[in-house]
Amino acid sequence: MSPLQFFGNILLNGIIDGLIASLLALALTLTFAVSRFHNVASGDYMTVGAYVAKAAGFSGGWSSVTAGLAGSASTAALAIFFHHWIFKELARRSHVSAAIASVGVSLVLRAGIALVFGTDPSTYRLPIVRATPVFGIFVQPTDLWLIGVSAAALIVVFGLLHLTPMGRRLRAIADNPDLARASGIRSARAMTMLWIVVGGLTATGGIMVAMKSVLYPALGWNLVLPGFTAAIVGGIRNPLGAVVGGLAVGIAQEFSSLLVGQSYKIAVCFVILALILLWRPQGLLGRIEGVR
Amino acid sequence: MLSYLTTIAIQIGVYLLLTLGLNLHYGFTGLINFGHVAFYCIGAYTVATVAGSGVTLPLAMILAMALAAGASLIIGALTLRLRAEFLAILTLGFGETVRLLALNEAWLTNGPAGHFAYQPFVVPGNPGARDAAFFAMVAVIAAVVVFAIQRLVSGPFGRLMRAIRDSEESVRAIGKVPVAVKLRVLMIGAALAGLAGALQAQYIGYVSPDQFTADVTFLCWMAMIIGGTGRIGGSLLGSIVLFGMFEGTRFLNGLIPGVSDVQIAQMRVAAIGLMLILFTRYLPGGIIREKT
Repeated sequence: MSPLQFFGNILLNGIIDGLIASLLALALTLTFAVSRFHNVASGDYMTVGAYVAKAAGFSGGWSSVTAGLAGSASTAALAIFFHHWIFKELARRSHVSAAIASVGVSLVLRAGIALVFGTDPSTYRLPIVRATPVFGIFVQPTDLWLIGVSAAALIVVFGLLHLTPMGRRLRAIADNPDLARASGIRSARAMTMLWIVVGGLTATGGIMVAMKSVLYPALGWNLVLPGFTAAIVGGIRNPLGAVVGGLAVGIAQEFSSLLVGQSYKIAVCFVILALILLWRPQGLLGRIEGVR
Repeated sequence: MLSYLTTIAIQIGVYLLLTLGLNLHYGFTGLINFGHVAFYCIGAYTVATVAGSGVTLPLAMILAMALAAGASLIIGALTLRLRAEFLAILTLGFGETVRLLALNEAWLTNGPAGHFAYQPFVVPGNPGARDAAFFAMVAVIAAVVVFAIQRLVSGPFGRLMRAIRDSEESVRAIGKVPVAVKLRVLMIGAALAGLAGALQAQYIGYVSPDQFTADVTFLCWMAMIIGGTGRIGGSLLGSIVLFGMFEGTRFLNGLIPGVSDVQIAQMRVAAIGLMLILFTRYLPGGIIREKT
């Protein structure tokens, strides 16, 4: 294998991991921009989506569409439930207490999934296919699916945000909630929309992770740190930054594992986070803003 | 039975120190630390590595506290000038990174197998005497720490801590430097966690990476929030409730037909999460409320 092919394969893996991380990072960024707290449970929303999709018979082909929709819909429903029960009230008090409650939500979801589905790792029943070399880089057909679906999900969300009236309302609330309310935007409906988008993004991300490797209760929790790192690297509250940050983190993790090994993937996130906070705390695409 | 109670009392003492450290961070000063376990881990490994190999025990414990405080200084220097959420995310990553270091840097930590720690007060053939002596040591240390922290938080420094928590802007407006105070608080709290780790390592006589998962951090959060944030008595009450709950459910193992030990453990995690949710949502001050 030539060096070019070798690095090409690593780059491909980094892009796939990065796209998955950007799905979570975008969910975190939107939550923070609109609902104004860091939702630590977002990773576990991914796990829920992935498990529901398995229960709904995710096995490639058309079943992926129905099972994927079932996973997204249940995750969105769960996110709306937690919003009405906990976060709506706490976000009014302080974004810190909402973040702490979201740690509680995360623990409950993870333990709940382990109780219902067991702790043994499992996989989706996908047909086994051979990797095909493209310019010498080994590409699994699944990989192309992962890239295609993640990119499509990102495009749909950006389309929603920038081309629809509801997206405009969401962006208005993110920009200035008081002004948005004064202009007659109903925040309750926008919030429901937010959690539907978050549910779709996280569930899609969870299913992607499970397709790529295995399904286990801590699947999403283990991605929370890469997700937050991606969001901060891109510039928290900047949706496009979440995607850029996700790709940067995914590719950096893959290449750094050449030097420090796979087991330090999470630690690499910590180092990236520390460096970005030293060098450019507002993130690559972020603006410097005052504390409100 | 007596030795069982002594063991529980020692564990409560260790968690009291941990929770007090976290309470200084969050309850008194508003610093969100999601990686408290890292400082605990550093303290435990320090004692396990140096004590018994020429370094006396008191010196080893001081070293444990110093290293934990030094690690917190790095985290603080990176984030304390920035918005509060960055500390939360960076500490979350730090907790995981320290555990990964313990797991992978076998030359220093002996990897996943862990290694033995020096156990003081061992009386051959009489484990009860050893536990009693150890309990006395923990009780004396805890009493000294509680007294010192009581002095600290009721003095001018404590007022400054609470003022920073409530409004950093106004502290800056009266010409104080919040970052300097926050750094000191971060180091004191981390040193307490290091001390707790040092005691735990000596008591168990053994350290391994699996003792230092993020669960430890969340147990401390639960103890602090149940007991009451910003109250020293709250940390004690929270630690007692925590262990009451744990030891109470220990007897459930095997009692309920069809429920395995693993499932009981999952239910415990779910209970911790639920407590975090319920207390932040419905009883934000904890059982012992802060005097206002």
